[in-house]
Amino acid sequence: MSEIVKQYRELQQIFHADARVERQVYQELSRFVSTAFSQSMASDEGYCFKFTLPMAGVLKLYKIIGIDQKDVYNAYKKDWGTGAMSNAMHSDPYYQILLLIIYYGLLEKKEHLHKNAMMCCLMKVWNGRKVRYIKYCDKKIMAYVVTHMVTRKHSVSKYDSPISLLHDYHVPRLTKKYGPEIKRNPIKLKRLFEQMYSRINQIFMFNPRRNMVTGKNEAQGGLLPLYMKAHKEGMSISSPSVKMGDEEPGFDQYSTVHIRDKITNKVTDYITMNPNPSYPNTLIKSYNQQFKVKEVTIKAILKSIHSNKYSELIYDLISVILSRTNVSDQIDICRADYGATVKKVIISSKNNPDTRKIQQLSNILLKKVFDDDLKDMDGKPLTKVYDKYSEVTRIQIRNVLVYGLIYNMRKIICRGKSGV
Amino acid sequence: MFTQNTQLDIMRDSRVALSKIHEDQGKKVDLLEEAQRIQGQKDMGKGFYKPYDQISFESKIRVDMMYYDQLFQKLDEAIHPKIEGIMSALFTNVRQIYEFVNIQPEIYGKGINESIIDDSLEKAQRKLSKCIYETLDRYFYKLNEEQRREKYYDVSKELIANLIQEGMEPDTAVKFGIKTSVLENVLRGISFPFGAWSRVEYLSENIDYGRVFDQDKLVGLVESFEKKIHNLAKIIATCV
Repeated sequence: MSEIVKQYRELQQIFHADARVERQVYQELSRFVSTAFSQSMASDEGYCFKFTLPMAGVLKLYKIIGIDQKDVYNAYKKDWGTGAMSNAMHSDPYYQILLLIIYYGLLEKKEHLHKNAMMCCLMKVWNGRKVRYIKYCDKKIMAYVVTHMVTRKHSVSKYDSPISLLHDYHVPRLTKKYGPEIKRNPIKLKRLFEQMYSRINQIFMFNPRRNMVTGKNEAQGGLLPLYMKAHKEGMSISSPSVKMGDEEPGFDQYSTVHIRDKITNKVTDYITMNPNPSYPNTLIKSYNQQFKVKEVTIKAILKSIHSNKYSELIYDLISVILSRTNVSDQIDICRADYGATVKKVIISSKNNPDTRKIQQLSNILLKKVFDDDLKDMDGKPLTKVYDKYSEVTRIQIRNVLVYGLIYNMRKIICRGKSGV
Repeated sequence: MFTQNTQLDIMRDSRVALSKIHEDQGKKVDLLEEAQRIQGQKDMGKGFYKPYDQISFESKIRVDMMYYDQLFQKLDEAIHPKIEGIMSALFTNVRQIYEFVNIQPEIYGKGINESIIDDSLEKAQRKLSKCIYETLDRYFYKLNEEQRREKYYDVSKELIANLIQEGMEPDTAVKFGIKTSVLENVLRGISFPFGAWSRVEYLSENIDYGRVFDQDKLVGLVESFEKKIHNLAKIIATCV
């Protein structure tokens, strides 16, 4: 019989004999995780965040349970072999007790135990990898990397902090993937443990390739190479123009806000004071192909916004679009890749305050346009039709509006400027 | 296992809920007001779907291809090159429909998701064949002869008539026609599981959608998809 199973049986006996012990272990584990959450919420380090590990607390679990640290160590040694135990991670009593609790939790279907124990393991692995790869982590550079450089496929782009990434992404996935295997065979606990390491490691670096010049292995993907690139190019996000804080804004921030105000005013005036706009047919056709809205409706929506009654909404929308696309100069809008930026940070992005604001404002404006101005092919008004659409259908109509505003923005700002 | 704070929270929530129930019980309900309130709550699943994304589509197609590998197992290898062209056109068609209705592509099968791609080949095949078998059981094997005819005869009438005209034995033609219809259902399900297909059908017919969106194009895409799976079902029906 596996030695780990014997340890599990011992743990089972202890917990069954006195339910208070199990409760105390659970309370300790929940306390470690909730403390990590509170610290994460109070921190502004983003993906530079390092957990304060409950080292003493976890080691105290041996005492609470009344299980010998040496016995647990020997059980892993017998099951995993001496080779594995020569590794600092495999022989760490911190991980060993947590893995035993994970095993117990999975077998006894006690989710609150195995998930919290797994979370404590991942927190330590995270710290180790972060310090190994980015020892002196600059939160502004990291914020730039996470916002602008990682692809949508990378898990960090979907979660706003390491704790939510570990808690909401890795813990459920690891449990789902390895839980059933572990239940069948306790040796798979080692695989789970090693997967925790590999998956966190992959966040920082993956796909290493030998650099023919230096002869060293260099990561092709992950946060590390992107962070190094951003660092080398001097890219960072402090974005004080959109950040509310106690610090006094400097000249640069005033300058950015001033330029944005100027662009916003100019574009809003151009749109709302021009009741007879002309949009090229190719543009209308391309919106139709992309968003599937009828050409006639696209024309009608784009014509309707050229009205003074919508000036406040259009002003607010343009202002948030400029903030979200981080425009600090007129030339930023005229760059060839501005469209790609809009697609990345507005169209494809969902969960951030700026895009939510754009969605809200667009919904209000489009509802008014539908209720007051639009008619279908038969000349019947489209009043209240916008309300009936589902969110995914509204997205397609909102995209028409956002791209239409950006077309006008570039038309008026980039007239005579190169780079469009 | 609850902490004292959690227990207090639960007690407080229960008290609020109970007092609301008592309050509602004592209230006289105006039918018109109640009807308006329910109407306001009705949202026809507006927030149910997630928007289309390419990554999900790519995962879906990888799983769909695994399903097709199972279905093509007994197919003559000489037909394979021909099938590849049809499959490529089919996948393009499926992508266009998902993009059009702007919903996240879905993977067919209870408990089957993109993680199956990482499973061992043997394990994945086992899961998928089980799923296909369960579907066939639901659509075909569980029904008796009469139920089968009732469900599939009308939809496969045209094909059966053509086959008989071409000289096939009536009994064989009926069997083949029914088999094709069953397989069409399976193939449709693989490309568009229930939720996704319901959305496609709803938008293809919804009047308000058609007033603003190019519904005719959507209907065209759906018809083209139906035609493709019909042809594919006929090919698969020859070998299963």
